[in-house]
Amino acid sequence: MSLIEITNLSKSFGGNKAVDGVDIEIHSGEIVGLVGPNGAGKSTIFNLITGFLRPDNGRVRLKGENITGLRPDQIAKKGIGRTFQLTLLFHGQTTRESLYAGHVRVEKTGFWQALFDTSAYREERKQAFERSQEVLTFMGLAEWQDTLVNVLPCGIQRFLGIAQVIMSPVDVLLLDEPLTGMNEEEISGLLDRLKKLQSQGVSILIIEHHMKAVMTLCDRIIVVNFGKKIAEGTPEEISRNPAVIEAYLGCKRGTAGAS
Amino acid sequence: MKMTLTKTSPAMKVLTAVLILGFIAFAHTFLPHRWQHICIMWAIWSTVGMGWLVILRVGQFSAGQAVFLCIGGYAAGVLMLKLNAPFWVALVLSAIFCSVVALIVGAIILRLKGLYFLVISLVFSEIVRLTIAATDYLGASEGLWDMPIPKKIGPVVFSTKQGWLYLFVFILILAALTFWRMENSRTGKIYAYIGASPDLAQSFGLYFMKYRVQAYVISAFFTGLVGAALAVYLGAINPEGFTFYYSLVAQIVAILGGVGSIVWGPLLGSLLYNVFDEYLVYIPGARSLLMGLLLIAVIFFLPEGLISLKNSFLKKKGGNPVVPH
Amino acid sequence: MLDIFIFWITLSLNYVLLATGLTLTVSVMRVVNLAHGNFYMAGAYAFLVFSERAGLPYGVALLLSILLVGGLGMFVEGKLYRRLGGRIEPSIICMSGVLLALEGLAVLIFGPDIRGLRPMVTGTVSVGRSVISIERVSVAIIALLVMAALYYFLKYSRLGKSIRATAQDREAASLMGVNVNLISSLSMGIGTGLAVIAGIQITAVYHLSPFVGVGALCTSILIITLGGMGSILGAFLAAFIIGVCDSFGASMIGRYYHLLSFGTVMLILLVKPLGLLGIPFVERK
Repeated sequence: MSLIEITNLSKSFGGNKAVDGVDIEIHSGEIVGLVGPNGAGKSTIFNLITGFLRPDNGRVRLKGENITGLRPDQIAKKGIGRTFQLTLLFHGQTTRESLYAGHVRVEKTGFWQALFDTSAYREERKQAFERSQEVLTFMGLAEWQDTLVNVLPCGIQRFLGIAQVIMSPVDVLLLDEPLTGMNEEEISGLLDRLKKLQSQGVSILIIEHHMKAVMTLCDRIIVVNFGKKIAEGTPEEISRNPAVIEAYLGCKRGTAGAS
Repeated sequence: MKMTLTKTSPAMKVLTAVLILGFIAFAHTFLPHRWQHICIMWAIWSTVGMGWLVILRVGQFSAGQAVFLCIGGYAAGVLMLKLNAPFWVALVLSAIFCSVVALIVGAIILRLKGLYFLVISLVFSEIVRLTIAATDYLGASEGLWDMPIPKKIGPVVFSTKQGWLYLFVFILILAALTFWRMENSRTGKIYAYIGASPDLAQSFGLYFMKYRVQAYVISAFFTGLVGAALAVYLGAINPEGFTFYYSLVAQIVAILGGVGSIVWGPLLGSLLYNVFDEYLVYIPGARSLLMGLLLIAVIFFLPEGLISLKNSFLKKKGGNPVVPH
Repeated sequence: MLDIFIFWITLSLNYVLLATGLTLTVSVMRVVNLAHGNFYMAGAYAFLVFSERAGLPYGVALLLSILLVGGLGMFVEGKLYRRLGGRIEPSIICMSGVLLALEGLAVLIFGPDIRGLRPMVTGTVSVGRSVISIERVSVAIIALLVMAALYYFLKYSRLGKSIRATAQDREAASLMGVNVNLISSLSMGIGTGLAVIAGIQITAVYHLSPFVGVGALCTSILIITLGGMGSILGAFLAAFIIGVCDSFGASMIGRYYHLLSFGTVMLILLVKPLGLLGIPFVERK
């Protein structure tokens, strides 16, 4: 049963077709890589899935339910979490404090309970605290927990971005170039953790340029170029696919693609 | 039960309450009328400044905050003068009416991007004011007057400033507690997330409009409450009392004090502004000129407000919460 | 009916001046210049001093007022606004301060009363059943001439092209060798100058007091919001729409006419949140 089913997704900006009739299927517990040269439309696909952009055509279904056109916060509440290509941070907070942002969506107490500091509210905040402990340990961020986020090293900030998202239960994790700015050690650390998340039942759709990582991590890879899907298969199949090689070589020889 | 004086122990709360009541009684008995008026104005502008600040927290700059004073004041005027409602009913209903207006208008305009919201809130304030000035039922440009004086409650009378001191300080405390509690609980954190980055907040399941409207409505409630009470305290209101200048005062008060602190900032800023205002030799135009120059000076020389002076004195390092920008 | 039509044209053309001035300053300052309305008022008062107190001829007084208040605008931009580094909230506060200071100064010097300004020509002409005031026609003609001159300047002159380039993309323009600071000052000067001209023209038809600034500001804001911030063509179109509300509306609805313009803008914003020709407004971070 597919967890996420994307059919015929299209989006144009001005006259430019950024995404052109893309079909993607993600099954439960899968890690799928989304690769392609710069400007191929990968981040646009993410924005379309998560509600930040409205598609011109096509549909996105989550567990059979049509979620096309919903607001980003509604989609997030349904269990799709995402990170951004450029790490967005809430300045002035410590690492631990910024984790709480990710927990809010499962907290059921509302404005009035927060105002009057009810026991239900305090209970939820305690849960948030405990969960932040778990996540800090899991993501290896415990030593940074009281550091202000704006002084964190680049790689650690990327870890934090993911940590924030997993504070609440997610079915699908959309990661947009998480390995940017990481050193070798951090990369292998993150890949380990992503595999662990997979074993806990989380599906992952990851945009990445780091081909070695993608090959090791992903069960399946989808290649897009100029907004179209040009190939799909296991890492071995993709690495031997002539169309894929052409797309990448063509890009390397010519000018760098616009983003 | 130990009589410890820690920050939140029951004994401390009782002591605080006693101090406040004592201060008010003292103020009424010993201070000259002029100073009692300054206290009342201080309480009013502190409340309005806090209300403005909470909207800033959620990422929007309201350039027309005086509109809620206006709506609250005129609602009270209509309820008491035309519909013969008792004061306390008028007070609460006016605040609620103001909140409803904020809900409806906010749902449309809070969606707008920062600069658009700013200018539209300014224009909205002027439009409401001009519409009132054109409406005879609301007194047109002469306004409403002869507001009835509320009846006394026990020993507290409203025919002198005594009852008003109690009332405005009470409203101030209510507002301060509410805003302080909001700021320091999860609500405040959510507002900070949304103010810093609505997109990122949305990816965490937070619908930025919900919280913007929430902040706007609460702000409107307290500002309307104060506006209603102010109208009856002054005995008369007219459209000239709600011009852009007064929207600016709401901003001045919060910025002078320091936007980092939701309660202490406006309290300090309001104190400085009202003392300054009251003792300014009253030459027409001087107030606007000096206030304008003061604003420019504050922005250049003390952008963090008066609160930041505390840090310079204590040589602390980065203690204050960073303003979400 | 003809006289209302002429009123509409006159008013709208002057609104175009006012709104275009604001658009120019907005594209320079990246923040809405809240003091714009009060520069309009200051220009009118400057004209009052030059033409009535000093007795100078109309054209000379006009020119001096433009230079004086336009220069003031450039001073504010260069010395104050530029130091704030484009941060929005401090800039708003700063411009509000300038707004207040100007109003206070005007009240101190001239008093709070309403007065009228001498128009360039006076008299009326009868056309059919309508009586047309020549002063309004002359006001419209002046506005039209100024707009035409501005159009040619922006489109064909080198300086004008630099201004447009800077307004569109400041970084790119500076990379191309444009002295963006100079262009900023110039745009501010021109934008304020337009406000001054509009001020001197409109107040001859209406009235002048230290408090007209906020009203002019609100009108300009409504126009550029309706037309889309940053678009001069949008401001042009929107000015005529708002002009309809204020001229025809005023004669039909009377004292509530401003609700018409506000309501129109709100309605259009619901459908087109960026205005009629809106360019997504880039805020400097």
